[in-house]
Amino acid sequence: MNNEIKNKLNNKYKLPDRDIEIISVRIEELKDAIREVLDFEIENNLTNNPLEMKNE
Amino acid sequence: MSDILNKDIFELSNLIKNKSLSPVDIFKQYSKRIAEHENKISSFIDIYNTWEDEAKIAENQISNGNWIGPLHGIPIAVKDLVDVKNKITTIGSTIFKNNIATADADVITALKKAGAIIIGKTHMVEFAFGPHGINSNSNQTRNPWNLEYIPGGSSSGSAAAVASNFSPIAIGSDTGGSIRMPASFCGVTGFKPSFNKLSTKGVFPLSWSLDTIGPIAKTTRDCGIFIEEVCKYQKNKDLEPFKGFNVGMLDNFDSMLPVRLKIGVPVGKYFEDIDPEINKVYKDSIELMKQNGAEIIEIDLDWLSLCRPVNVIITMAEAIKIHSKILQENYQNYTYEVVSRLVAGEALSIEDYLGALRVMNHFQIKIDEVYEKVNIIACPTNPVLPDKIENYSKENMSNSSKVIGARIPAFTSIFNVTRQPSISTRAGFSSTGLPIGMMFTGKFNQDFGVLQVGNWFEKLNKSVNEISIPLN
Repeated sequence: MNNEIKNKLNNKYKLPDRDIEIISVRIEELKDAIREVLDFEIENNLTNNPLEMKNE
Repeated sequence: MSDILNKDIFELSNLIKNKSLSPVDIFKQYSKRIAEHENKISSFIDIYNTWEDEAKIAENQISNGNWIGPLHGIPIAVKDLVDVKNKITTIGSTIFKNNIATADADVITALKKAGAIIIGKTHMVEFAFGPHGINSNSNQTRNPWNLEYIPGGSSSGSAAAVASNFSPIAIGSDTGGSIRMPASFCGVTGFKPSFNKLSTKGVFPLSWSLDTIGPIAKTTRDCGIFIEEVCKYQKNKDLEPFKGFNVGMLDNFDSMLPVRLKIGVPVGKYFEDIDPEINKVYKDSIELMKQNGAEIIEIDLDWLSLCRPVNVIITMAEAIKIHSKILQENYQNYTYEVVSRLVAGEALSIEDYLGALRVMNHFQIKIDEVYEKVNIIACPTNPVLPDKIENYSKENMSNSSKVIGARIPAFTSIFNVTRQPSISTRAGFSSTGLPIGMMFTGKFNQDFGVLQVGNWFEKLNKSVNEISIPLN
């Protein structure tokens, strides 16, 4: 977990030390998911126009 | 009379209708069963003491010629995120232990009008956020087929209660598989209808873009009865009506078997990464349907694997939006297995969330092309067998979130993203006696077709479905 996110979460929730490790793992997993979705959007040149999408 | 417990609602309601069985008889048998075995399973958080009185009222109505329909006098257990007026809804959390509902959820209103008896609330994963069925803040629900194993979740108590013959039917909710996964692990039938067909008003949300409620029952035809009856009485103008699902059609259920059913069998790395024992039951099931006239068509659905991360992003983004304020005030009261999932959602940006919604929209359109070639997709409900409960201790969960259960929703979660109707029903057993589920998924709106196929498969697989649970 980078410091920016860590600080944000600490300010908001006052994270106990014991939870930081597991939350970091979850965030890393989430980043993998985000990367997969972003790559798909780019590779498939997804349009923002839903009407165009229906004509794909 | 003890065979009452082995009958499905279809059979029970026929006996009630012709007055050879009373709702009071059903109350007596089920409450006896609960008294004998519930302490081993922990499926209920609360059983209402009004059950017997309501059964007597139903008995009087029916004996006076006022039979309402197939749910009249039938007990229904309710996942504890659905509001029942004047009763507590905990959502599986100690934070809401005193949360008394001020109104019935729409589905409860409909069920009461249909004459059903709401018998109590079932245990669940805290805030419905987890596939394993673990809730460290409550009595742990156990898999009735082997008490050392997880029941699956998040509708853990609903599935375990039906499997244990504590209730003939229960309500669950499904955001990534929370009806179908526990139904599979507990060897019963769970149906997730097409998105936005059943009202979720009065149901605590996990993800408003993905949440669906539905039945967990002994048989597919009972799931059909539930849908038919709820739709008859549900009043919500914002819902899309079921198509091809008319009152009375279920009377012809058995004569409407698929004539030349085309079953799509997914191929590709994602769908073939399956436990060997599950794979064997799956292949045997496909062969059974082929021998009985179905055409089996292999289709490459590896591209659908992206629905899993899409589901994760949308669920986590919407869940943290729902929980942010509650979490700030009650962090310490959340369970260890859920709090990390929620907090991690804070790392998502607006772009991440909107990107996932855009891809979801894309897949909802693309999936229809598959149904130009097949009527239904068949795959195992879960790619892995249930784990032991002890593997989900706080220590294990903290070492890595990649604990054994991470792959449980690999297949189910896809069909929340695509909004499709999907049913899990018992297909066989592992060598250790744990149930293995088969999942049938139809085109959006073709809910009745999914129920037809599920019913057909259950009848083909009759010997497997007649195996009784070993609770002694």
